Amino acid sequence: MKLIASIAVLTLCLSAQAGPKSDGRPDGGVLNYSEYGRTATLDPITSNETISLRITELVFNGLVGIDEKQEIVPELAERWEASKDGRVYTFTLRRDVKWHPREGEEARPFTADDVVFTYNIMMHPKTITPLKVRYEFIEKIEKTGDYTVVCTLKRPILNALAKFSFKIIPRHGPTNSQFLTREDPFVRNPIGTGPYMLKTVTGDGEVVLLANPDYFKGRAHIDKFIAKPFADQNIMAQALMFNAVDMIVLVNPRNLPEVQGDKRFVLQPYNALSYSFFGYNVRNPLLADRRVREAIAVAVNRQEMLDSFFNGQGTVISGPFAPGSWAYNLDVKPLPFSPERARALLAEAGFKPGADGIMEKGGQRLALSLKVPIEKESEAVKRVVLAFQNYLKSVGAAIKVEFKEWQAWKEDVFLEHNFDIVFASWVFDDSADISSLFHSAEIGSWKNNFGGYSNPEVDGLIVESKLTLDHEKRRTINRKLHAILAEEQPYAFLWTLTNYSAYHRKLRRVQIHPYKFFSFADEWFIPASEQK
Amino acid sequence: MTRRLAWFVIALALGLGASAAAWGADDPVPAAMKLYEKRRYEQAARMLEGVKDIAPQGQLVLGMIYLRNADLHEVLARTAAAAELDYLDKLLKTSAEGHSRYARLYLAEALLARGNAREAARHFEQVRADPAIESRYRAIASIGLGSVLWTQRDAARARGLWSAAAGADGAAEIVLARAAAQAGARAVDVQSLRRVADGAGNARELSPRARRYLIEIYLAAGAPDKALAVAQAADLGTASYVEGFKAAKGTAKSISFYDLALLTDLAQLYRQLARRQLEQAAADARMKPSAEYYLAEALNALGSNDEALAFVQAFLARPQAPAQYRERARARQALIAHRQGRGAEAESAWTAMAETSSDPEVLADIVLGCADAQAQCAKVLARVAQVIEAGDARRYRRLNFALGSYHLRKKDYARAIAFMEAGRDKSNKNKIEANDPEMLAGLAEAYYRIKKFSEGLEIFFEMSHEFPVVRQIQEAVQGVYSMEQRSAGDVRIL
Repeated sequence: MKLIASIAVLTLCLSAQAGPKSDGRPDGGVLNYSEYGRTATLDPITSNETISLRITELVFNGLVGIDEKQEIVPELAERWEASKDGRVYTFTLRRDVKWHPREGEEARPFTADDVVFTYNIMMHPKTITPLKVRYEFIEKIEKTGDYTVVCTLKRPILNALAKFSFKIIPRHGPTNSQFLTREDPFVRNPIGTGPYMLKTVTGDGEVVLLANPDYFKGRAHIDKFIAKPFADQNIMAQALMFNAVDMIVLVNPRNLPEVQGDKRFVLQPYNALSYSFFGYNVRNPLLADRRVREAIAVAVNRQEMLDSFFNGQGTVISGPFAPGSWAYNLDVKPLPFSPERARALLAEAGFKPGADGIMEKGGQRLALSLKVPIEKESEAVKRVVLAFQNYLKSVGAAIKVEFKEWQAWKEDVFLEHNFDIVFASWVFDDSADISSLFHSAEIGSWKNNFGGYSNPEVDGLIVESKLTLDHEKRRTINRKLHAILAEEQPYAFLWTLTNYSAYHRKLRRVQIHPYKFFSFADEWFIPASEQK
Repeated sequence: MTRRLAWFVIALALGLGASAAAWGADDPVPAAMKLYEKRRYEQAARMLEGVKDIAPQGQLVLGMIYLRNADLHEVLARTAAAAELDYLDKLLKTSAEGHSRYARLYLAEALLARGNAREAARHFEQVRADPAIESRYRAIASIGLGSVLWTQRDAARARGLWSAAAGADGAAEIVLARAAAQAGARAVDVQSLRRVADGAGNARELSPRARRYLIEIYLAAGAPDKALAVAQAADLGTASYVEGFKAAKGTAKSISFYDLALLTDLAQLYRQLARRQLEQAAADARMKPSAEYYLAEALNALGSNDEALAFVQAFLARPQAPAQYRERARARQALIAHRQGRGAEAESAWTAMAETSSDPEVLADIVLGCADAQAQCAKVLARVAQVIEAGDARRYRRLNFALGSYHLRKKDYARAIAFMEAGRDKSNKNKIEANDPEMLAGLAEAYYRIKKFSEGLEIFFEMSHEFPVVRQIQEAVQGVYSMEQRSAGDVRIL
């Protein structure tokens, strides 16, 4: 009798987590936020860009989370144990979690089967995902009960527990139970366990999310989140000013003075760990020559572009990390602007000016394509691209610029590798993990080393960085990587821009995760008097 | 603010009936003032330091530059302490393999620099007893322990340790370490110090550690110009020591260590230089009023409160002093009173001033005084909150910075950040031309305390172009960040 009563009390306690939060803050309201593009996939496994990252943060959970104090906190796992040798992690899962229900269906319980399923599908050779390299250290994940999973690592690693924040997907979600591709309906219509459920994606590309009434941490306060894509970044600030949106995820630096001067809005800095670059496809023999890559880098006056097109709101960088990263090598300086050096390097590489002034070598002109996603077609980006064209023309390189729609651009770059140069930006979390960008094993369809860069020394250092358990050794290795990649120039490393999000003051308790953005969004609220 | 200041200098001179300070075509003073306005203190100072027979207005401006640079280095020292003590402590707690031996010495010295003598002593003892550490550094640890004992009034044992300290190598460095320790303790006469310093200063190459000792010795010997020459001959971002490790295979790691005391030394150096320049400027009747105003500040910061009070009273006695500067001098007067043990009188004066003023510069000075004195000032803060709420945010940059500083000293980091961000020119987020570097350094500390490390690193990356000495802060924050971060290893295309 006592046992039954205890179980009943326990069940009551656990189920009491779902339902409204007990923090006394009001529920209600809608948050419209602007995105600078649409995303084709909304799942956490196949997606590789930040727009989908933000949405998956609302829809899914991991076994663990990381709070604003950089502490690991329980999420789908309520507790865990690690073996003394750091190779075995046993997670006890929450029993009160349900998957978002599909239309007309009952919500199904989350269990250990889902965790095992997620890992297996993620690591399947046919699954298209950049995540494999991140989880290669796991030997296996097994269930030992409906609510217990055991993860065995190939070796102990630094910061292992944080790795288990990967998002869990339901076993009953994807159509194909073996591997996941971008053709699976699940990636466009996902279900998760998170504070928000996908309601619909409209014809205009708006993603509508509704608060999950059964969220295990308590229903999120704000009823609805709507992600609104903007093809033109230039009008996002106006949309905020005219109340068409309540929040801009990333304010165009040129709009900062206007937004800062308006008392209705708050500007919050975040996302310092990003940088822009021109990335080279080294499969093109012209770009396989390091001297050509360096020539391009020194032909371009990055500081002048930053000052002219972004009002100087950023910092020129020298290598593969942002200046806000712990891995940035402070001794490596950016390559100086020097068209003379560019010409000298091209001459050294065997180029001679042709009749039209464009360099030639072995009958081949130094004519390259530059592909830019059209969603990034802000005034500033257009000017950067034009300036790049002009700088290179002055040293004898012809650049043909192509603006492409976002999905088509991604297919050209990540799938077909049909490009010479791209203009893009990477965003990193705090780990400073560049392995997927520059390790040769990450060359392939939908993988991040889209340029095909390969250097055994870099490969070795990346592997060494993953294997070490010594923080200072890892720092030393990353400094070396920075120095080598600055020398090798698989990218022309450009700049890190000033990053702020902006939102209406009616939004309260807004904590923004520097990388995932919406990690704490279930706590945000709008006072009743200001809810639309 | 600084443009207004320039006019103040001229206006005061005019008001006193003196002829207007006319700038000659080649006069470096206007150019230096432009750099000063952009907070490029090092460059601004260099422009005037080399001027032969510098005019009184140049002395005044140079004094102001040194004063601001001193304040900045004091804030940097506080920020550095937060990160470096954490970093060194974490290094000590690293597991045995690849364990740093020198972290303990630098931790001991950092603790001593921040006034934690007891903890410093514990670590100095352990360094002395570690045979794996080079003998010169064990000798330096003995000298450090001597400094601790001196603060604990055990002069005999202190002297004993200083005299006995010797090493198989690095004799010159040990001599300087000893002299610096004795200088800090005022345990030896100025002439002896000068002899040691001048002898060492002739060496062709000085290590960063030796340079730091020299600066301290020259400061104690009343020779700030010589200390400045030592500082300027160096790259202040160079590590004091780089500990290398062997690796059986793969990459051999290295750890760089820095002297936390260098920042406090530089703050002291610039204050002493400021005092000298301002005293010289005060000898000129036209510059005297302005010089008095700033001398009060400099002497207050140097701990010479009686002298500071005399100068602020002299300034207040001048009927021609502009109203705003008069009020700011009164705020300074209250701070001096607080330092002299008249805390209630000071708070009362600040409260009364705040209730009748809506000038944001005056209010900022009052709040900064409260922060400096670590006083409660509840009524001042309430009044300031009213003023900010009612007015145009763009006027209150410095006031927001002051409020941020206040809350930072109270360890309320969320509030500190809220106010400093409100005062920050976000269009020029990390640029010292647009945002007071003192505010940025304080903001970086607040972000550090709540583990938003990248925000602070961005600030110092920009600041390092003008102030390379911040390298030690960057290294420490990077070190802590790498150990504290809990991210999974994700990267996305933007």
